Amino acid sequence: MLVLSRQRDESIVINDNVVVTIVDIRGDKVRLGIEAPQEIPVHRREVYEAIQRENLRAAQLSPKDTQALGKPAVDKPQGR
Amino acid sequence: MPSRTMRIETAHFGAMAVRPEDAVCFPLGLAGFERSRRWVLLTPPHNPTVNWLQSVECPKTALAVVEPQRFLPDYQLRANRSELECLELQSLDEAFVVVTVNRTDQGLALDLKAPLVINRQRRLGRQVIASDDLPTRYPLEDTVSRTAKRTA
Repeated sequence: MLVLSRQRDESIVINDNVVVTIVDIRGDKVRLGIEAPQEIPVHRREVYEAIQRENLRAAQLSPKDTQALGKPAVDKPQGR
Repeated sequence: MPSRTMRIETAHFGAMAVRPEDAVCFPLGLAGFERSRRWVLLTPPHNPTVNWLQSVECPKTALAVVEPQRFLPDYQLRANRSELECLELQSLDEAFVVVTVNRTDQGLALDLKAPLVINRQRRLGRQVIASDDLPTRYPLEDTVSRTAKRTA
């Protein structure tokens, strides 16, 4: 891992389109400002990992697991 | 002119013919399924409450999704505007919003924190992070009792 020291209001540039700025430092809390193109998703890591985990779990369900949410699935579905 | 259908393999419903324009593109992918960009929303006629977001690229991958309003009538999508921009929605009312369904020890649950927002007209989708403090596992009470009944 690349480790850089920065002070308040200083930035780092990633690639040529992402800028991370140290906005504020208070005690053990650092506030970051992130400028990135909209096609680059930026997430808090724990939030991203939670979404990834829930997505993977949603793919483990089968139609019979979800019967409680409606009538049982029998036929082939329609594309829509 | 009728569009040609494409044949896709699905995780739960065998091979199916779908129209290419029924595929929704998630340009940024979905967390956990980065290789899948094109998805088809399948609705089984006998359980239309649960839709299946089937990956076109990965036949084995289909996520159970539901419209959150069915379970939470007051549900409203609130997300960072920049996250929604790429969907080219004229207004939020145009958005088709679903959330994933998960099984927990207590029954089925909805991931309200990360709704999938789809512009059906433009066939574009993105999973966003709700700006409200919502749970990733919102328990569906009804399924708790039914699951309990089944195992009793």
